Amino acid sequence: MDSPTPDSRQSPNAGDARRGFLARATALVAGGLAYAVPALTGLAALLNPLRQKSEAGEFMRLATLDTLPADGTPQAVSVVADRNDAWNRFPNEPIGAVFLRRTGAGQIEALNVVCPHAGCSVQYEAGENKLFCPCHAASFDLSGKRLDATSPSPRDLDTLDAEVRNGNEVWVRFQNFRTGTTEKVPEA
Amino acid sequence: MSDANESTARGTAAPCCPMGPFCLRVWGGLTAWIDARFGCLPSLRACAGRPAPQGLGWRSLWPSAIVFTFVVQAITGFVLWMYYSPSAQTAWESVYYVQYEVAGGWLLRGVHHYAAQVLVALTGLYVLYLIVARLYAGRRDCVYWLAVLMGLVSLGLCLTGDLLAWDQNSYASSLVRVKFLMLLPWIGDDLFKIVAGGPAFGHLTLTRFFALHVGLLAPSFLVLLVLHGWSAGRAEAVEADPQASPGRYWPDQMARNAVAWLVVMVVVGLLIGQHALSGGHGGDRPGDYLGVGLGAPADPDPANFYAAARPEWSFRGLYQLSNLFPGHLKIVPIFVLPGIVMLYVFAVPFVAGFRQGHAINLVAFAVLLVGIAVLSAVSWQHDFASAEHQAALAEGELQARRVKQLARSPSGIPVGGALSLLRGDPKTQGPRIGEAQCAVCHNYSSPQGALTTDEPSAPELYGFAGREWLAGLFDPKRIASAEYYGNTRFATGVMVRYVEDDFSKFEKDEQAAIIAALSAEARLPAQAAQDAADREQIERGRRLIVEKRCTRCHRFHDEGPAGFAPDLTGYGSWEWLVGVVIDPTHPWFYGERNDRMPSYLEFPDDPANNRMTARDVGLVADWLRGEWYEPSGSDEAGAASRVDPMFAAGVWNVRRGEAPPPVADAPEAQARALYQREHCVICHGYTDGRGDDLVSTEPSAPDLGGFATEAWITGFLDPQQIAGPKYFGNSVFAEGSMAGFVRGNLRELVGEIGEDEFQKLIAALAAEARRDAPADPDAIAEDTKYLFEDFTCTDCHQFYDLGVSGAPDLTGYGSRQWIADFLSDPTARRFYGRSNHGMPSYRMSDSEPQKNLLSAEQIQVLAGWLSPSSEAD
Repeated sequence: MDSPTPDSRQSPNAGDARRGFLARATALVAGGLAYAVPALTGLAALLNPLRQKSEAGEFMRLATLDTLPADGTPQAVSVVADRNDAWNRFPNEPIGAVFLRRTGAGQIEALNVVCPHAGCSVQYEAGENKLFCPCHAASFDLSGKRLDATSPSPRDLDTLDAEVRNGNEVWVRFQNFRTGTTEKVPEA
Repeated sequence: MSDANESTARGTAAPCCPMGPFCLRVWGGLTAWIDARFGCLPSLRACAGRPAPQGLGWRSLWPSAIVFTFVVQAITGFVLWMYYSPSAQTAWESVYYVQYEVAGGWLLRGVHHYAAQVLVALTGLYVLYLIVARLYAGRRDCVYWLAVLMGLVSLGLCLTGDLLAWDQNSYASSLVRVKFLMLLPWIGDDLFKIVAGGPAFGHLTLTRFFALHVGLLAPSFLVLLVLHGWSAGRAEAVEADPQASPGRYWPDQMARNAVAWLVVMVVVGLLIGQHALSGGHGGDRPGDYLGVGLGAPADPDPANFYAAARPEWSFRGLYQLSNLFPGHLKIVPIFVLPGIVMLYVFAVPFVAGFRQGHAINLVAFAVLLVGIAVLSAVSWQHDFASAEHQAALAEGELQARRVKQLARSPSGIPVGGALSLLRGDPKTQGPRIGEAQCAVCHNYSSPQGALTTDEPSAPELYGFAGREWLAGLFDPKRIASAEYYGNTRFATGVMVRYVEDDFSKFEKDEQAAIIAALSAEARLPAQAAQDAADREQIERGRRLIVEKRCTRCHRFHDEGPAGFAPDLTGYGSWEWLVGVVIDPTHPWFYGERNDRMPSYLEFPDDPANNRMTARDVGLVADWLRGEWYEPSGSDEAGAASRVDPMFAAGVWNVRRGEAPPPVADAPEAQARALYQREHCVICHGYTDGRGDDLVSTEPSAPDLGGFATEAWITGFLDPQQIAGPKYFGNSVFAEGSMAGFVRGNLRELVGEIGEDEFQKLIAALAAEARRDAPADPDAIAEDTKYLFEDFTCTDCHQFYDLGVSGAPDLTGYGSRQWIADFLSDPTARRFYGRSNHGMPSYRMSDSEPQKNLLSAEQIQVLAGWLSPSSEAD
């Protein structure tokens, strides 16, 4: 096929260029808008879980002072609260546990039982008067400090705000913290 | 080679900006990298750069729009899939979560639903276009058939997808549709079970429909699209028209396609917003008025089948057609006719082979379209004009709103699903249970929806135990009306007489205090603030209940006897209501005096034999007390801490104590039992000197031991005794005319006329009592009659043919018949008339025996025992 003359190619080219630009623009803009609706809606819905925060710890009443041993032995107490799972609400379910320990007249200390290493539950060893995590043999003293020189746990056991109200009620601000970090960071 | 292709494709491209050459170089490098590994780019470029052989125009828009809509469905469907949970307890709940709790969830679901409808419409219109543009014959027959199949698959996607929300309408309409399978002979029932996953709809129906929707129908649609694209492309390539306009697919045709996509999204957007424009859904969250509505969760209970269930718009015509056929011929409009139509639709390319075949096809489709349109219009118009349909729609809407209110309450959606919320909601269930169990006898005149019966034979229940209701009960003009006791056996009983004769004479503030105190026993939630504010008045009322002697018959906390009248402790409270509904014959309520109210949970150990379940009893009690969740209310904890109704039933059972020993058949034993049961003993003692007296702790009427014997009459006419405790002393007649006469004039008369005559008078009266009934007037001696005149009895009393009325008739005084008549109605003119104070009328109506406290036989038993007449011995 002969190539067309340069002249006959110039004007159709320019006109074609304008029409082509308009066509491209229309195709991209209209197509983009049309697809944007389902795409963006889908994205928003996919990312919806980011909106959810686990509740910032509030003070809850966990026990009465006189049920705790007076000699300062730690007592594991279950934390019970309402739990939401998508559309279901489960009232009064266990959501965690704390060690409560009397440290003086009307004084109380609370430790989260979750080991900061990998999340196992720490237990109280009465014979050796320490707290011990069976998963990777981490030991802590009764106030939560690591006992081993090279403890598997990156930090001490997590303390929780605890106070005695009305003379006899033990209130604790229950929270969970990230495992595996040297800093005590609340779970989002 | 690649360079040459690039320049061909970019032949008419103009640089868009100074970065242009750089972008093009990057793009070139990337495409070369892909091409080296996959080698597909040349064909893609050829595709994009290919000329549009038939010219730019309509035919490509349809499939393009269909592809676009399908991709939209795939995207939105996938994201919805990430939230959806197909089980009978979680399907509706997960859709509710998407609609109301996920950001933009209503939009996601709305796009998916309405784009599906648009897809059906698009495939339908595309098929019509193919017919009209004569593009369905020859080698294009596969294009046509694939388009028809796409249409059918899109309908299938709508049908399967609709059920997934598991709300009332989709459940009901899907059930009806799948049940149509049973119309098919031999295989029908089995086919139903296969589709439904069992003998009835349930979990497995959802999983099957979901699997079909996502795993079979959606991929099939994609396959059909691809096949259709191949076949259409081949047809176009072969029929290329070189004279047509020199546009290229990209960007010229694509631009037009993109505009078509935009139109599709605009249509979908309008459909999503339609309810906002017409104000349809109602509610404050976007999910309430934007997007697709969500009805109340499906209820498998056939009694709750959604009466307004309708198929979608695409099936309306067929629905109306099937309504024209009687039941036994339903297979015709459901399977036979559509089958014939589909056979024709598929045969259309062959019909075109005949002479005038195309014309025949056009006419056939026109007829089909018009028919469907007309039938659909008729169906919509019929529903619009039908009051029942609109009412069912409104009822469904009400339930939908209520369940969403409850889902938002602090208790949330339990594991049992949202349906259990509705089933445990007193506001929803109360009227339903009330209509079935209570409204036969009781009215419930609520402004929000009254339950009424033509002939109420029991008190009005709306506002029971509230202050207004109690004010009506204590109103002497209303207590004996149909609104309270008027149509019951207590219409002329002690309580009614007490309100008329005693309570109405209390001070207004005393009455108000008693009413407030009684009402406070119920602890009605709507009255909580008022009860707290009126604490002093309530304290006063509680003292008055004892001081004014309500506790003579009713127990109230630590005061009063048990067993005579309903216990007022906790009157109208939840526990009290549960008790009275479970068993009104319980000794703490009406006991053996109960009128006609049944015991709704007579057998705690045998639940199947009871009229109501314990749960329903609890719901009725909640409903009557207005104790249900409202978004603006505060007391939700009250309902949550409720005792299990079955436990409450057990407590009432324990309180019943031992059954009393049965009464012997002997008339005296029967009479003594009646004397105590029907309250005689509360006011009248019975001291007969034989050692088995019936003692009244607070007598307010004459002792009836030895009534109308000579000794009794002697004591009655003794001025020292008439106003004493044995006769009128504790009653309102202590200062009355008779007492005054006996203490005053009678002594003088006895002195004038003589003690002997006086004794004869007493003997005459005693003789009257020994009769069975009043004698014939001629049988009485004239001398006897004159006795009554001489002693001026006849100035007030009648005695046979002497005397006037105004005081109790002495004719046959104390005879069995006289006592029977007296008991039947002491307010008769013949007896005390309007002077009667507090004594019930035990048998006033012959025509309405249900309003009588005692039957004629029981009256005779009592009268025979009380009367000294010799037949009683």
